[in-house]
This record gives sequence, structure tokens and C-alpha cells, in this order.
Amino acid sequence: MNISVSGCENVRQTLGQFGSRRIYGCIEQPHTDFTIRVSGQVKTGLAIYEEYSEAPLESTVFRVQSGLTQPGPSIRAFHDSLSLKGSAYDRALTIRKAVHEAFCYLPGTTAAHESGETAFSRREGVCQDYAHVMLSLLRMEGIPARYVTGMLLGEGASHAWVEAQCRGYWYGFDPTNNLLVDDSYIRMCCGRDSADCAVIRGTFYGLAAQVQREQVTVEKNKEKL
Amino acid sequence: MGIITVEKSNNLLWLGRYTERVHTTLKYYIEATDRMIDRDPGYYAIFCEKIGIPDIYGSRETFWTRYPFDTDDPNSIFSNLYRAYDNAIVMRDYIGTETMAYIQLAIDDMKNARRGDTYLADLLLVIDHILAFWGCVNDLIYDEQTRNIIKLGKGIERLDLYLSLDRPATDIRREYTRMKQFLRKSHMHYDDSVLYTIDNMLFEDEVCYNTVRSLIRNLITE
Amino acid sequence: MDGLIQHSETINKLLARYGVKFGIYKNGEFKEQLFPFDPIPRVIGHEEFAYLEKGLKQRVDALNCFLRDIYGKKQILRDGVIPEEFVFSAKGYLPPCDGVTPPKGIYSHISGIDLVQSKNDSWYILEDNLRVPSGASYPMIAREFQRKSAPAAFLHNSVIDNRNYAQMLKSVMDNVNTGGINVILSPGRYNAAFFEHSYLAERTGAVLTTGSDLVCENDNLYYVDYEGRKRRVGAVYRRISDEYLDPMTFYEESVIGIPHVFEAYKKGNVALLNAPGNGVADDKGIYYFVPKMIRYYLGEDAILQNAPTYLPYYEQDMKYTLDNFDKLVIKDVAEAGGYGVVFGSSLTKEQKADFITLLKNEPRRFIAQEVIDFYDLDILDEAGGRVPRKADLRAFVLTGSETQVWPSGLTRFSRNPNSFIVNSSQGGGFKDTWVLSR
Repeated sequence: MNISVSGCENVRQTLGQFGSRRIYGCIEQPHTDFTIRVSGQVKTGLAIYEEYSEAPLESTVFRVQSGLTQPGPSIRAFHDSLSLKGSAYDRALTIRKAVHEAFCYLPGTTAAHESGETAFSRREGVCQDYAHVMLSLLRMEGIPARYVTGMLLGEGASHAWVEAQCRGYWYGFDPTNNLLVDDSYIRMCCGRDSADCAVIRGTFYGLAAQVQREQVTVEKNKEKL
Repeated sequence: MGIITVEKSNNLLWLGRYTERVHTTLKYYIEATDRMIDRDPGYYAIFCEKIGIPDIYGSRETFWTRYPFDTDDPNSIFSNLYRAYDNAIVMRDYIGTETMAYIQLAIDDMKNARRGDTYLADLLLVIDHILAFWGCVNDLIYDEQTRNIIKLGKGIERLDLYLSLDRPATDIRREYTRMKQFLRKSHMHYDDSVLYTIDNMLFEDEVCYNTVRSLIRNLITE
Repeated sequence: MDGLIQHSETINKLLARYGVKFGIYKNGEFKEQLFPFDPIPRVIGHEEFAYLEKGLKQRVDALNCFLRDIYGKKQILRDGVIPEEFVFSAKGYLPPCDGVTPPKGIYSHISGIDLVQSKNDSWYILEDNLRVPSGASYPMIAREFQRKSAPAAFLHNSVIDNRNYAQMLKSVMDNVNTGGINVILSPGRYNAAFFEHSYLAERTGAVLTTGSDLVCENDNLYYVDYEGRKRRVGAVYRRISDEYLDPMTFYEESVIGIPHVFEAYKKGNVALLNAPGNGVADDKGIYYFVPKMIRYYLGEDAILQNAPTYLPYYEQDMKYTLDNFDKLVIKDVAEAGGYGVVFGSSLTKEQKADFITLLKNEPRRFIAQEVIDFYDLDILDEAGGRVPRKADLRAFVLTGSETQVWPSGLTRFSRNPNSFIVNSSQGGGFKDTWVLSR
């Protein structure tokens, strides 16, 4: 993997929360723009789902609601309308389908740190909102679940989905596409909700409007490795 | 203490400037008011022109009360006193609670004067407390750097006002020499060539006040 | 003590002269107000203080153990003393702090513990403030003025001098300083407690900063002067909350924090007072468990009692809460400063029904407490007569090389005769707190 940041010589690495790796740095000189390029090859499908230990402590933090998954009247009413039965896995499948059908995919409607409840009251949103609502419902069911940020084969932006504890694994569910996560998904980091999983964050001093563009290209490597 | 950041050096400089602005304009106001009583009722217009503020007053009486007291008028003496306060309150750890108290007291004097009908006499108390503030700066601030930057601000402001008010060249030369001492000791960034130009200009027979004033205003560089 | 009452005008004048104020926002506008001061001090006897001191030290020591444990091995959760979800769903629990040990293992350096005295003379703990408790500067400077205006009052009473707070605070900073200067980080002059920030900076010799002159480089924190020279910072007594501390780790939009300071802290290169993440111990839900913590970590019984508290989270407590709703006070665990407090008896029928629905939906969000029959303190009213008012006491407990209780405290009172809320943000005033040496 290759990471470069234009204009920044001193890039440092650290381990963030929930085991995510972060690089960070600072550009002291006045500048008008900078670019971060990350490129690399990823081999997926080796072990799609991570096993989890039965030690309860490790998963409690994902079983309780977090800031952006806090249910309100609309999620609560929706929860009441679902008849959830069976194993954690079965309930997760039902929730995934229900969330997928209840939402209307509408880019550009969601503010950066909007809660699942707010988006769901409009029934409009993007992958982030689908994931938050699914997390909210899973946690109401007492199923530990976490938010995942990553990439999808062929997509032009990063993607988000949900992992829930079922059958001894952190199973990946994609409520946006109503799919199970397979080897076309590349996982980057996970957390309680999107606030824990920003791909990039930063701040600057100066009086300027800020524009951020993101471009993601994921292609299948044609050569056999 | 000895560690002064860019932001704090600015606060100190402006603390010096605003307290001096209050002090000198107040003295000049009291003088001008006397003149307006009988000798020259319309003098307020000239007053405004000299110190470079818009004449929003329209009458002698309005000027008498609005110019010192009106906090909605950004050019009033009281507004300048509040600016001094704004710069002081963030510097408590450098100038000390004791020193700061005199700015607070000047504000209280100003409020008292505004309420009463002997305000010209009452305003003298504001000058007393500004002078007490300067006394504290000299006496209680042990850190040289802090002291020198405040005094540099005071010196620059006084020079600026004296030039505006057409004070005699001897006064200007004296204040300029005093200011220069603090400039050197303050370690602020300044333009040496500007200083050199002013040096030469001031010792000519005809000093061009306007040019000197604009040079003074560009003396300190970021 | 009559001297104090006689000369209360003088004391008020001095408070005004020295700018003893706090900021308040009214209709979106910032205003500075004098903090109303009442000249009749709260007097705590020598023995009574010894008892409080012992209890407060015990409590703060246990809370420090708890924080060390929660962000470390989490033994208390493994042993089932506190239900895990109480910790993990607490707003103040910060995952980035997991596994990070602060210098010398101290989390709460300055703890503000709020107590009240009931009519039967027992003291109860109301809440623990382990994040950024404020208020010590007010009794400290008020004492200065009382001694000036009524020296005789101190001649005839052996009152322990409380003006040593700054030295205590300085030694607490020095104790964890990792090599460098001490700074006090303030959100700026438009913060309610700016007077305190600047006054404590002056008195401790720490540098007051609003963060714009602090930079992180190579995981070290520096203070930059106007000539561009950098001075290393060893300890930051920060008066800004966790969320705003570092935009790279916490709230991204924060403009008052220091980018990357959390990395410097994580690597042990700078001390933050108090440590980030302490909010979990302030949580009103966790408060319920403090006596259990004391037993768990110290093997002792709690000396100071909590106000009788119920957790609707437990079925039995929910039942009690519903059955006795009208005589209880219900508090939202995530709120502070007197907000989110509801007296059951004050609600209308509809409000009550709505509230109970909310309570049933989010039982973890609330605690219910018995209303304590406060022992009222006299204050001087405008006509100069004595009238009783509700009051609490914020004790300041400082943890350096050892834990110490400041022999004074901030006594806040409600000016409104019918109110229990004493917070300055809601119009309360303050008194000095005298601790007698004999």
C-alpha cells in the first residue's frame, strides 16, 4: 500500500480507537490545496467475517446505542411494526430488508453528522443513514452491531455497511444494496457509528471556504496474483 | 514570565494605545468644551476633523454628551475605554489583577460621570485612574518585555494624536524619542528604513505632520 | 461576624473593583455580571470538616481507581459490580481513551464534589464533577476582601486561610508536568468562567492561553512566542470540555482545541488536567454505583452517603419510581448545571404521562432521587434582614502526590425562596465557606 500527502513531509502513524490505523500530520506553510493519494492492492475473500470471542465485555460497547443511532419516535414505531423472530442472523436479515425497503436512496440530503432517526423521519438518505438505522434496530434487539466504512468494487465513493454478531462471526450486512457482504467489499475501519469512522478529518486556520472532493476507484486485478 | 505570543503582544500594544487614546482625547475634549462654552460654539466640527472622526453630532450640546459617553458611537471615549478593557481582561496573568482594577475603576467613573450633571468635573476621575493604571504598569509589572510593549503602544498613540492635533514640533520630537526607546526594547518587528526616514524628517525646519503620521502608522510590521 | 454584615457593601465594592464576574448569555448576547455575594459565611466546624475531608478523599480516590480501571483492565465490569452498559452508554465514556494511561495514572486532579446538608444535619453527595469543575476562585478572592473589610471577624474566629488554593493547584500541575511550562487553556473571554481562568493563571504563574498559540509537533506540545520561539508545555490545565479538546480526535468542528494534542498526551509527552474521558464518572447513572466502587476498590464502607437514588433501569427501582413519582426528583443523566431536573410533583397530569412514557422508553437515561429536606442557610436580603435559602457546597478535592481537600469550598445558594437550583447560570449567588481550625 502506498500513501502520499502533498506538501506534508512529516506524516506520523498511530493506532486509533477500535483498532483502526491512522496517519496524521500538519502542513504549516500557507497553502490553497492538498491531495492525499492512497493506492494499493487488496486481496479479499480470504476471511470475510471476523470471529468474535464470547467474552461479553468486548462487544457491549457495540450493543448499546451510540450518538447517531439513538432511536426516536420514527425508528421506534418502525421497530414495533416489524415482527422479528428467530436467531440473531434471521432478525438481521429481516431488518436489512425492511430498512432497504423503507428508505428512499437520495444523495445530497444528509448532513455530515446527522442521526439515523433524523434521516429516517424523512425516509430519505444515503448508505450512512441506512447503516445507522439498521444499527439502531439491531441494538434495540440486543444484537451487538458495528458501523463499517469501506469500498465497493466499481463505486465512485466510499461505502458504509453494518456488521452484526451472529453465528460466532461479525457478519456483514449491506442494507443499502440489500446484500450480504462478500469479496467485492473492501473493509477499512469500524466503530459505533459514522462519527467513529471518518475516512479523513482535519482542520485549518484561515478565512477560506473549504471544498473536499473524494474519488474512489476499485478495479479487479486481472492478473492472477 | 517572558513568553509573549503574537496575539498577546498585540493585546499589550493595543492596551497601551487605547488607554492613551482615552487619556489624551479626554484632556483635549475638556479643553475643547471650555472653548465651546462662549468663545467658539462650533468648534466640535474642527475637533472631529482633527482627530479624524466623522462629525455625527450636529450641535454643541449633542457633542458634549455623546462624544464622551455614547457607547453606541464607536468613536466615543467610552467605546475606546471599553476597547482598552477588552485588551486588558485577556491579559490578567501578565499585567495583574491590581493593575487591571484601574481600568475597571475608570469604567465605573465613566458611568458615574454619565449619570450626574457635573460630568466635566467627574470625568477628571477617569484621568486619575488612567494615570494610576500607568503607575501600576511602571511599578507592578516586573517583566520588562510586557512593560515595554504596553509603553510602545502608548508612545505610538500619543505621537499619532499629537501629530493630528498639531502640537508643536518640540513636543513631537520629545514623544518620538521616548517612543523609539520602547520600540527598540520591545523586540517587536519594525521597519528600520521607516525609522530612518522619520529621523531625518523630524529635524527639518518644516515638519510635514501628515507624512510623519502615515509613516508612524506603518512602523510596526507583522 | 457582624462586621462582615455591616461592611458587606465594602466587600461588594471590592468585588466589583477587581472584576469578579462571570459571563452569561442572555437573548444571544454576552454579558458580564457580578456574581452575587452574600456576606454571611457558611461555617464548618473543625471536627465536621475532618469527617468531610476523610469521606471526600475516599470518594475521589475510588473514582480515580474506577477511571483507571475502566480505561484499562475493566475488572469492575468483569466482576459484575457495575452493569457494562452503564459505562459504555455513558455520554462521557470516550473510546479513544481506552488503553491510554495519563501521567502518574491520575485521571481526576481537580474534583468538584457537590454536597448538601439535610435538616437532620447529615451530609449527602449530590454529584461528582470530574471534568472541569469551576468556582474555587470566588471564595478565594472573596476571603481576601472580607479580611480587608472586616479584619475583626477573623481575629475572633480561627478560620483556616483558604487563599492557598493557587499553591495547591500549582503543585498538582507540577506533580504531573512532563517537563515544560504549565498552561491554562481557556475557551476565551466569552466563557462564563473566564475571570477564574485568568485569575488562576495569575496566581499559579501558569500561562493563560486560548489555544491559538499552542502547536503540536512530533507529538510534543509547544507554546509559541511572538518572536517565533517555542517553549515546551508539560501540563495543560484545560478549562474546555473533552469534545472540544482536539478536533482530530473528538469534535471535528472545534476551533478552540489543539489539533493532535491527544496524540501528544497518548504518548505521555504532556499532562492534561483533568484527563479526557472523566465524564463517565460524572454520569448520574454511574453516581449510583460510587458507594459500591468504594467497597470494591478500597475495601471500605463509604463515609459520605449518596442522596437515596433509584435506577429505573432496574425493574424494582422502576416500580418504586412510578409508585412514588410525586415525591421524587428525576434527573436526566446526561445533563448538568441544573438542567434536565424534574420534580415529580411539579408536573401537570399530561406532562406526567408524557414523562412516564419517556422514562419507560429510555430507562437508562434517568435516575430518580428522594427530595432531600435541605438545611437552609441564612442570606441577607435587600432590606438587610436574614432569610433562609437552599444552598449546596462544592468541595474541591485536589489529587497530586496525594489527595487533599481544600479547607473551604464554594457555597452556592438559590436567591429564589422556592427554588432548589443554586447554579450561577440560573441566577444563584455564593458565600464564602469557613473551615474552623479549632
